[in-house]
Amino acid sequence: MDDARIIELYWQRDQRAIGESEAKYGAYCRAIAHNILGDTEDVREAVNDTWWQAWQAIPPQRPQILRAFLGRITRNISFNRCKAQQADKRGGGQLAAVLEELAECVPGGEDVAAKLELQELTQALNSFVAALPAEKRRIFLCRYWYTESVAEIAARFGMTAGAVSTLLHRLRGQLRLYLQEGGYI
Amino acid sequence: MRQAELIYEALGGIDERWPADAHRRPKRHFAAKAALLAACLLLMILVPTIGDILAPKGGVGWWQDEKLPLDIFEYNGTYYEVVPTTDSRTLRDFALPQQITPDMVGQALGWPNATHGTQEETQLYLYQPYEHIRTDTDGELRAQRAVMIAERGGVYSYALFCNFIPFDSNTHQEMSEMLAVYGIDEAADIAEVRIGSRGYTEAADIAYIYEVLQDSISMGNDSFQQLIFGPLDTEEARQTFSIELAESALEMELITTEGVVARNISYYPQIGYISWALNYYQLDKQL
Repeated sequence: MDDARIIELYWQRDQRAIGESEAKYGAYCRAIAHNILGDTEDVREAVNDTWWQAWQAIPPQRPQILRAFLGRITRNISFNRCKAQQADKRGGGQLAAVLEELAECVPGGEDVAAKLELQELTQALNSFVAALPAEKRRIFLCRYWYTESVAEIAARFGMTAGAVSTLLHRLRGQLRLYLQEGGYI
Repeated sequence: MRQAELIYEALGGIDERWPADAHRRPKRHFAAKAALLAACLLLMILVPTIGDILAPKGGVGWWQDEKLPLDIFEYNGTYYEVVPTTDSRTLRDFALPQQITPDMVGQALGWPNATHGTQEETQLYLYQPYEHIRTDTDGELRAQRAVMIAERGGVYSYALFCNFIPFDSNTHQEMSEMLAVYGIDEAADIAEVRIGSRGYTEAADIAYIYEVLQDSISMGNDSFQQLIFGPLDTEEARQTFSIELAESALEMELITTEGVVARNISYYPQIGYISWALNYYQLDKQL
């Protein structure tokens, strides 16, 4: 079923919307949750919560890109679950490594929150991401949006893991500079 | 770690089209890219003072574009030019009606940031007649972004796509991304191609042109300057060649089957390049 039809089902409050979403994007959302949470029971719950939140959000929302809309929900749910758990109980996902890398973008432990609202930061990151050349942007997002492992990204883009790590390191440097020059940090 | 968490969380809120696009299969043109790399290496060996030749003077850089619009705003990483309904010439060029009625105003998108021109608050809407247009990029459906509606103080204008916001002077987009802006993801989406004074409407011609465009190698301004003007010895030679290129350039237009018009594309037959919205595309065949 195409996305427009699935969205219509949500708007009509037809519960088949959830079944169709699960059939079309279940694997995609599970992969996102798995990247963040690792091999835990939480993955299944995060994906189930995704359908519930989508049901709450549509209407009034009418997603432009249903796949990314659902993926974003799964990402948020999984991230919040991970944050709520004690560090030693967190699953074996990629989140810890990803957060460690992103910490490099904030020099000297600067407190981003003190200077910037989340929304402003999102806007800044949006402009940064938009301006990257297509392939670099995709690699950056595979790591920091989808929380994929370096090995997985390397396989996806036909590169070596070392080349992906080097590229990500440079992109983090660019992001740090961008945030500094823009006065965000 | 709190700061890193904040960045991670903020990334989750970026424009959905970027994560949607991230899983696209990368296009590989190994031979062509290897040739480009070889050309760059050769250039680095032959020209020791590379800094000099990277200077914009003499090139056809985007900052020299006299067509740069004056009333621009930024929305989700993209620049749009506001075109009032009184600008009949531009509207004719883009095949847009000279009146915007309420039924032509689609879904509200938000408030973009003014960049040049008026500081008056602008509300952005989808352009309803094009609202159904989608490109299927590896299973991802993306809406056209070529034409939107901008509303200021109850007055509607068109907002036409200019370019994606450049991060640096070598930023570039792949051809498929540019075409997707206009709702084109296959040759069958194009009804007509105009190159200079010639128009092509035959399916075979369009399929050929589409294939050449899709197979092009994208690059930013720095790379283009390096490749085209780098080998020239003197500033004068670069200036002369730049003028020659500009004079021989052919304007190109794509008109989709849905009636969306892509303009401001320059084709340089002498060197086999296209420039479009701050991007340069090296073609492997002549158009």
